[in-house]
Formats: sequence, structure tokens, C-alpha cells
Amino acid sequence: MLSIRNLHASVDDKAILKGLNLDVKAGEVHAIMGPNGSGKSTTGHVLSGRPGYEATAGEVEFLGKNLLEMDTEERAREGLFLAFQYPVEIPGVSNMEFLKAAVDAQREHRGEAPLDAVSFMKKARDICKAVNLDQSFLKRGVNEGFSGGEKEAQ
Amino acid sequence: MLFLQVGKNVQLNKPVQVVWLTTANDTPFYVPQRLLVVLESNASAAVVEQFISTAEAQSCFTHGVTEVRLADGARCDHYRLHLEAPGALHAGGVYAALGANSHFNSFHLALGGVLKRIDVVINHNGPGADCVLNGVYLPRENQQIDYHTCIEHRVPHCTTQEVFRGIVADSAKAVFNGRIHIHPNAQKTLAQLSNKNLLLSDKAEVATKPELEIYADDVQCAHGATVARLDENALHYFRTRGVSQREAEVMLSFGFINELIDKLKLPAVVNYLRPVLTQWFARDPDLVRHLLNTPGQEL
Repeated sequence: MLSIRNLHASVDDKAILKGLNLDVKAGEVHAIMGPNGSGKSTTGHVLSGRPGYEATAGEVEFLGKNLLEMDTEERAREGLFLAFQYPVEIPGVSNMEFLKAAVDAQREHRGEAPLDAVSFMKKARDICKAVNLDQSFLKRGVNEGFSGGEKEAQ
Repeated sequence: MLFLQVGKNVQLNKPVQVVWLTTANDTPFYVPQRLLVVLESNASAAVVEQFISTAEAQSCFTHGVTEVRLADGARCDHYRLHLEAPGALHAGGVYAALGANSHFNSFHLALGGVLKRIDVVINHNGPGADCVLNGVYLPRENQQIDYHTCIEHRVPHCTTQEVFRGIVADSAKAVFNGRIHIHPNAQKTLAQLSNKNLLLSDKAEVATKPELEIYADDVQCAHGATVARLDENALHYFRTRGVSQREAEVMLSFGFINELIDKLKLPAVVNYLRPVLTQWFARDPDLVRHLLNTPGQEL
């Protein structure tokens, strides 16, 4: 499903990854472990396409497509998801708006019609209940005032 | 010319809407406008001023002056919304005099007009007066928008909270000059002034000057200003969730001022402004469907 071949990557012209190989098949869970500065986060950021993280050599194939050629949002729509340890707080944009934008982008990519506002809100509230999140979560700013666990759940 | 007076202890239960409308004209014309709001003691009223125009082609110069006089204990929620056509010129101001323990809550929005200058002068004349002054300016293309505010703290125990936010796009310019003046007599003053600006292009310009002039020794005051671009980390975060770069930019820009819009006390004004503002940012209705479709009030 995800195949990384001889990946080299640098941040600010400093080489961090020097030939990473990894194959992840569907349904597998892999944990990448290593000391500080060994490139675990860099691997995640390069895969997500974060600005400033440049793949200098090697290739990454995701579901048969060349991942490195895609824009960040394309990668996300194809199904690559990066959970942040410290996601950025965005006051002024509510979780509801943010989630709807993300869900609509995903649906559009799959050729599905966007959810109307009412059914989206109902669904969001149901999911909140299922995972024991207070409804006020949806009105709060994106990642604003979250506990560590809440941030990762987002 | 308009005069609104609310008698002693009278609480208006509906907002008063004042629409200043200019129509298209072949020859340039001048519009002197004047609104005087007098609230007697313990009266309360909400006043919404809207500056709009009927047609895109405008050749008018408007000089709009709003005066607000609050007697002791009076309370006024005031909105001054500038949504004129791009060709309109406006120079005007809001001048308020606050009696003891009165509350003045004034919100300003500037979108339209090629050139605009608004002066806001608030005088704390009676002890215990409280003022909340917020504003949003969004010049784009070749617009210039100036806000000059001056808060005079003449007496003790008064408070001011002032927040202005601006988003400057294209080759537009904005000026914010905010002054809080604490006179020697104005002990126990609480005053805060913040001005944050977002520049969306290399040619956009903002000049900001927050000023604090303090002559009393027992006060709590703060002031600050920032000028920045959209946060790259926030943009990236949106994109890792599948949201396009352009849409993320629109949502983040809107979020920057939405903190002030969401706090407005009149839901009718919020519901009126949200679509206007989202269209303003997006220029492409497709990009704002999430913002338009999310009626925050219903949550």
C-alpha cells in the first residue's frame, strides 16, 4: 500500500533522511522508533508534503501512485493522514466549519455529493456523543484549548 | 440629518437601523450626513448604521458624522457598517461622550469605498464609564482605509477595550492610529488596545501606530500591534486534511476576523455580515460554502 524506496530528504538544505526503505501493506501497523533527531518526524512531514521538507532522492508509492508528485491536499484525499502531536490552534475557525471543509473535500474527491449543513451537523453531533465529546467542541476554534488527548483525536 | 433621543429609563427592545444610501449620479456630489444619538440616564438602545450604495458607479463624497451622548447609566450598542460601492469616498467619524457608569459598545466595519477615513473619539466624562470599541477593515485592490481612534480617559474608574483587525489584500493600504490618553485625574483606569493585521500580498501595506499616553500612576493599560502573513503551519494543517490551499486561505482569513464578528450581540447583524464577508474574501462562491452553510447560531 505504501512503499518507500531509498528516500533522501532534507530540511533547510540539511540532509536528514539518507536512504529510507519501508513497505507497509494494507492492514499492517508499523511503529517507527529511534532517538531524537533520527528523522521520525521528518519522515511524517515529507510524506505529508510539508513546506520546507524536501525529498531529494528516492521514491514513495502510495496505492500505486507517485506520492511525492502530489500536493498535500491530494495526498490527504487519497487517504494519507498525519496525526499531529501538537496541532496548530486556529481561533476563529470552528471545528464544525473545519470538519465540514475536510469532509466535503474528501467526498468531492470520491465523486460524492457534499452533505447538506443539517445532516452534517446531525452526524457531527452523533459522533460527538459516540466518542463522549461535549457538543460545545463543535463550536470551539480548531484545536483551541484542547487537552493533549483531544488534540490527537482531532 | 437624524436625531434619536431615548428618554430616561427607556429601554428600546428593538434595534434602530439607519441606512445611509447613495445612488448613482452623472455629476459628482457631496453628502453631508449627521446622526445624533442622545440617551438619557439609564436609557438603552442599539443603533445600526449602514452605509451602502445602489449602483457600482459612484461619484460621491460622503462626510458622515455620528455623535453619541450617553447620560449616567445609559447603554448603547452601536454598529457602523461601511459597505459602499468601490467608487465611493468617505471621511467621517464617531464622537461619543460617556456619562458616569454608562456603557458604549461600538463596532466598525469597513469594506467598500476607494478612500475612507474614519475618526473615532470617545470621551470618558463620568466615572465608571465603560467602552468596548472593535473594528474590522478589509481593503483590497486599490482601496485605502484609515481608522484613527482616540480614547480620552478624563475621570477615574473607567474601562476601555479596543480591538481592531485588518486584512489588506492586493495593492491596498490601511492605516490604524489608535490613541489612549489617560489624564492625570483618571486613576484606576483599565485600558487595552490591540491591533492585528494580516497582509495577503507583497504589495499590501499597513501603517499601524498604537499609542498610550499615561499621566496617572495607578492604572492598568496595555497596547500592541502585529503585522503578519497567513500562518504557514495553519495552512499546511488544513491541507493535510484535504482542504485546498485557496480554500484554506479563505477560511483562515475569515477566522482572523470572525473572532470579533462572533462576539457581536445582535444575531441579526452577524447573520447579515457573515455571507457578505465570506463573499468578500472568496470572490468565488464555491470556496465559501462551508462558511455559508454553517449557521453558528444554531449550534
